[in-house]
Amino acid sequence: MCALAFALGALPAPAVELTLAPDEITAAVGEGGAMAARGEGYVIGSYLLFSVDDALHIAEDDQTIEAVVVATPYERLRFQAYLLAHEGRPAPGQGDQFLARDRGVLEIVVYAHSRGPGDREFMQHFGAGALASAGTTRDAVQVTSTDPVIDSYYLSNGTVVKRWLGQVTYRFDLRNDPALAAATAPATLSFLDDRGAVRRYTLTLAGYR
Amino acid sequence: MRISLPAALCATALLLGSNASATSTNNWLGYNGSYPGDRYSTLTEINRSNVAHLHAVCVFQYGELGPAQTAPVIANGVMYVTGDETTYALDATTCKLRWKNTYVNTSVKSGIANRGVALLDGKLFRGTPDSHLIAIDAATGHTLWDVKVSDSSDGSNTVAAPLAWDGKVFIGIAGSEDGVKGKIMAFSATDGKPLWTFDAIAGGDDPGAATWGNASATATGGGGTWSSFGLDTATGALFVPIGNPGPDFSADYRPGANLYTSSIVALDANTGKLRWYYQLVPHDYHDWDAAAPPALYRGANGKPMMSFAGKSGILFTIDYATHSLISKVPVTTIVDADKPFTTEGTHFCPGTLGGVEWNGPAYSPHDKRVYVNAIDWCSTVRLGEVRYVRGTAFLGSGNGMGVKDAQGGTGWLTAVDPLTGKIAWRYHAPALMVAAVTPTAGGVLFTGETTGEFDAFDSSNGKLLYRFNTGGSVAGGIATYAVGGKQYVAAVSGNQSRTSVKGGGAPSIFVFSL
Repeated sequence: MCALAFALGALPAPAVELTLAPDEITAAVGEGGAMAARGEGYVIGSYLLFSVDDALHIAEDDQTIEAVVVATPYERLRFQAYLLAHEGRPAPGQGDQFLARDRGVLEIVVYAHSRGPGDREFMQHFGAGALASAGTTRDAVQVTSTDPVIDSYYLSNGTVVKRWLGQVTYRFDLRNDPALAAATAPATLSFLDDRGAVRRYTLTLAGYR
Repeated sequence: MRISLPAALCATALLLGSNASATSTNNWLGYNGSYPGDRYSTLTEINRSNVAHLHAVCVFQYGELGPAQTAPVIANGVMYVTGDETTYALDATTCKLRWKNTYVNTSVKSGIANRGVALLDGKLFRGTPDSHLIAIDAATGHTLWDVKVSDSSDGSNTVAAPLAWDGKVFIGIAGSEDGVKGKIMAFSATDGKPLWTFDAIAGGDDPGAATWGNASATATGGGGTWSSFGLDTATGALFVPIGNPGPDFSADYRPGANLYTSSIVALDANTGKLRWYYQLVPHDYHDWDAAAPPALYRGANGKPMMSFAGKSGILFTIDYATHSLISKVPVTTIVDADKPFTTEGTHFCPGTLGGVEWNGPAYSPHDKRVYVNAIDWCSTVRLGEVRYVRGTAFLGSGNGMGVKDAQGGTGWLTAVDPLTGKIAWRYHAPALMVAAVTPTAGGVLFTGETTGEFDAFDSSNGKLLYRFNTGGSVAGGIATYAVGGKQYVAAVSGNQSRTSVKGGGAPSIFVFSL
C-alpha cells in the first residue's frame, strides 16, 4: 500500500462525482491502463484516506486495519481499467455494466488482516458503517468482503506470523444526497471493526473526483 | 527463445568419449547414473524376454516419514540413499544397513526433501535442509566437512543432489517460491572451500541482465535449483536446470524474459563462467521451471545432442554443438498456456504440479529414443498481492500455489524419436508419473508410478512386461547395476509430498533381480 499524501487541496472538483461523463470515463480508463503499462503497480494517490506506514509489519498494538480507500466511481473505474489491462483483458467501455451498477454509489474500502492465524472469518465481524456531515448521517447500504487470503507478516521482534487478509467494502448510496456529495465541510466516516470498536476517519467529499 | 553467446565462448563441441557414460559399468554413479546423465545402462541380464520373472530381493525401510525422492547411487556393491537429514549405506544385494549418518540442522530447516548424493574419491556429498553441503566418508559414514551454502532463514535450501568431478562439488540452492535469488556454487571436494559462484539471476554486465525490466525484482527473482546437473567431462561444461522466477505468478512485477530462470545454463565447471544458455520459458508465470537435469548423448545422426524438459510439459532436443533446436514435443496436456492470469482465477495445464518434475529424460542408443515421464494435472491460480516477507511464500497469488483440478492428475510415459520429434509410443497412467526412467540394452525400461507400481516396459513398443506394487508412491530414482555378475534394479518408494496424493506409504528402497 502506497503511503501517498492526501492532496485534497489540489483537486478541482466541487463535489464528489458519482456519475461519470464520457470524457471522465475515457480519462479514468486511460489512467488505469497507463499505470498497468508502466508496470509499477496501482497508485491510489489522493484516494488513500489512511494507511499504516508498513503493511508488512504488525505493530505492538496489533493494528489490523492497514488502509482505507475512498473509492469513488472514478477511482473504481480507474482501478478496474488497471486490473483488466494488467490481466490482458479489454478495457471497460462507455456502456459497461460496471458503470451503470456503480452510478451514484460511493464505496469505502477497508484493507485489513486478522488478529491471529485461525480467524479466517474476521471480516464477517466488521459492523455497520456511516457517513456524517453537517447534521446528516447516511448508513452504508451494503457491507461486503472478499475471500480471505492467508499471508505472512513480521512481528516487531522479527518473528514471522500468518494472518488472513482481505477487504471490507462499505457502499453508500448518495444519489439522493447531493448536499452530502458536495459537502466542503469535513465529513466523518465511521464503522465497527472486527472487535466492535468504532473506527473514525475524516474526509471532505467535495474534494474527490 | 534461444540466445547464444559469442562464438568464442560457445565453440564447445560435445566430445562424449568412451568414459562419458558411467552406466556402461556395473555401477550407478550419480543422480542420472553418469555425468552426461543419459540414464542408459548397457546391462542385459534382465531383458525383455525374462523381465517378467523379476522379483523383489530385499526392502530397506528408512523408518522415517517424509519425501522419498532420493536417487540411489551404487558403487562396488554399496548403495547410498538419503532422507531429509539421513544418509544410508546399504549392501546393494541384500539391503543390509552398513552405516547411517544423521545430520543435525544448525539453522532454519527450509528444505523438505533430498534427492541424493554425489560420489567422488571415496567421499559422498549431499545437501541438507538448512542449506549446508556436507562430505561423508563413504566407507565409514563419518562426516568429513560441513559448509554453509546459504542462509536458510530466507527459505533457501540444498535439496538437489550435488555433482562431483575433478576435485570439485557442484550444488545450487532452491527456494524460488520464497523469493530466494538462486545461485550455483562449486566447492573443493577436499575441504569444502568455496571455489566459485554463479548467480542464476542475470545482473550487472551479465548477458541477459536487460531481461529484467524491473531491476529491483532481481533481489527476489527466484531461479532455484532443486534436482541435479549434467556434465560433459570432455569440455568441462556443467549443465544446470534453473527454476522459475519469483514471484511465481504476478509476472508484471518482473517484466522481461527474466534470465536465467526456467532455463538450462551451461557453465564452465572450472570457473563458473557462463558459456551459453537455453531458456525453455521466457517470462514464466505458471511456475513452469526447468527442474530436471538434461540428458547428453550422441544422437543417431552422430551429433552431440541434449534433451531436457521442465514443468511446461515440453521435451526439447537441441544440437549441443550449435545450440539449435532439433525437436520440441509436448509430453502432457497443454491448455491455455498463454492465457493471462486474473484475480478471478485462470485455469491452465500443466498446472503447478504438472509437466516434468525432478526426474528428466533418458536416452537409449539401443532404441534411438528419448523417454520421459510427465504429470497431467491442471491448476487454477488467482492473481494476488505481491508481498515479500523473508522466508515465506512469495507467489503473487490469491490462492497459494493454486487449486489443482478436483478429479486428480494422471501421468504419461512418452517415447520420442529426438531427431524427428515423432512420438513412438505413450503409456497413460492413472497415477502421476514423476519417477526416474531407466532404459537398458536389454530392451526394457524401468520406471514407477505414484500409486506404488514399479514397472518394466518393453522399450521398443511400450508393452508392460512386469509390475510390482511397492505399497508406496514411487517418485524417486530408479537405478540398475550389477554385483558379482548379477543385475539388480533399485526403486525408491514411499514418497510423501504434494505428489503423493494417490500413494504415500513408507519411504523405502526396493531391490529387484531375476
